[in-house]
Amino acid sequence: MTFDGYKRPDGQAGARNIVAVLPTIGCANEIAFQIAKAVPQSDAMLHNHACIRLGEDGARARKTLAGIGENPNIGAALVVGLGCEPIKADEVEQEIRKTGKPVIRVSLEELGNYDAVVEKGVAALRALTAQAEQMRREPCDVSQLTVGIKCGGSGAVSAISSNPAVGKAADLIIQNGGKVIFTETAELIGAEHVLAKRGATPAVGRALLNVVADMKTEIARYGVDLLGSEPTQGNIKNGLTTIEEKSLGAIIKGGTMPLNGVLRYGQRPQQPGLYFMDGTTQASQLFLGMFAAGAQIQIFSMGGGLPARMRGLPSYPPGFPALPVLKILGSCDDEAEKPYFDIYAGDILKGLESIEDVGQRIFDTILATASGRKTCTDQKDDYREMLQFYANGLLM
Amino acid sequence: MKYCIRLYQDDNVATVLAHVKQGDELTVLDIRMQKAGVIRAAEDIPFAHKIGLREIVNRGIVIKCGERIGRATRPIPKGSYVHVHNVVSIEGTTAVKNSDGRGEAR
Repeated sequence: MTFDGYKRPDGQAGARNIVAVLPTIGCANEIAFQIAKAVPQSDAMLHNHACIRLGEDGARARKTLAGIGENPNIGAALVVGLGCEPIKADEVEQEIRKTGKPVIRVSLEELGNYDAVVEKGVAALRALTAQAEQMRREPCDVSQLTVGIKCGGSGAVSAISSNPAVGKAADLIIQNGGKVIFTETAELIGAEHVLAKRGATPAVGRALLNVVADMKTEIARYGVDLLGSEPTQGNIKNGLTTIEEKSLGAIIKGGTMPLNGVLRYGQRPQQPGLYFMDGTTQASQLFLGMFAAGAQIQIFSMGGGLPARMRGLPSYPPGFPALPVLKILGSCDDEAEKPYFDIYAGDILKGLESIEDVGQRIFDTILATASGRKTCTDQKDDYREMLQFYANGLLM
Repeated sequence: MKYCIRLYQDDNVATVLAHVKQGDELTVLDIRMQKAGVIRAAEDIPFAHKIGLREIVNRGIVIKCGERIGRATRPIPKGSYVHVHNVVSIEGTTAVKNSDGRGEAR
């Protein structure tokens, strides 16, 4: 089974062919924006990373920057740096160059002044864009797909309609040799023992229990009750009572295959199968981690309620066209919102459609999207936010 | 006919898939949408919220998906609305008290 993707020199297959303008640090956003503005076919991936991050947060940002450039949805990249940031433009450029795709860097330190960076950057970006325009879609095996999965706007219906259907699609991706990643460590609390039993080896099960135990230790340090944040006030309105109930519903979206490994944020899975990525539930940071891990398609499995009435996605970074997001709607009570979703799963609740049939539709839509189909969020491009790097440590 | 879905056979709560009024008789369906019984609602229950399928004693375990999702903070008669007003998390509260994730809920 195939989709029409962009074959990259390193053997990966892209669902998109984005020419990225990638600042190495948030301070370079302004110049990156000015360069990209002159070349409309490009995409400025402005973000919030700051050099006043410490230790693990800085190391993670370094891997994330390289991972963004390495994602096969990126056809070519212009790296924009200042020169006084800890992660230098030439280092990021070298990492991306290993994939064999076209990459150029410009830096304020090397070129001396702002206008020179914009001038050189625009010329370089035009050259990269011309190269990217020569790239064509061709049949690529489904086994080359990595799909990220997140749920949101969760309610009690999520465990009955949207998440089981998404889980079915996840199984189909894996049965066809692909990779699936799901995440949101806090949303394993109370369900970790169920998922750990599915570890492909005892070590995988232990690794899963360890990341949840670490999360619980961190929560304990805050000395707070989870109610109101996990489940959120919105989840409670949607019928979820406790974190256990939310977690037991959340893990359904990962399907039924064995769990092959536990990844760090932004870590790329090496073998086919199902993976859990340790990390946040916050959509913007989560999507960037999925992208850095190589996901070409992201699924957002929405329960319903007030978040479903937003036209984009709550806390999703609009302006991240490099990662197409498929929105799935689970609640028949929000059927009026159907036009703003890629897949409506609410008929499962009425017995009008089976979980298997909706799962197959999601799988087919994943392949169509990987072949270039626009998603609901792709079509909503007039509102943009910055990408958010995951950080959980001190900000100086 | 209004209905609710019981995800696992052992569950003592089900998710109502209607805006339920006190006195409504609901069909209980399993995950395959097969009829598994009937239950009368003892009070109003919002769409997608939970109904108690059996009496749950004070401090009794609430079971959904075949797993424990919380502990009753008062007796919950059969057919009642089951939510944050009469159930607390075990993990979400224990995580606060004991970093080993075990111990008594509040």
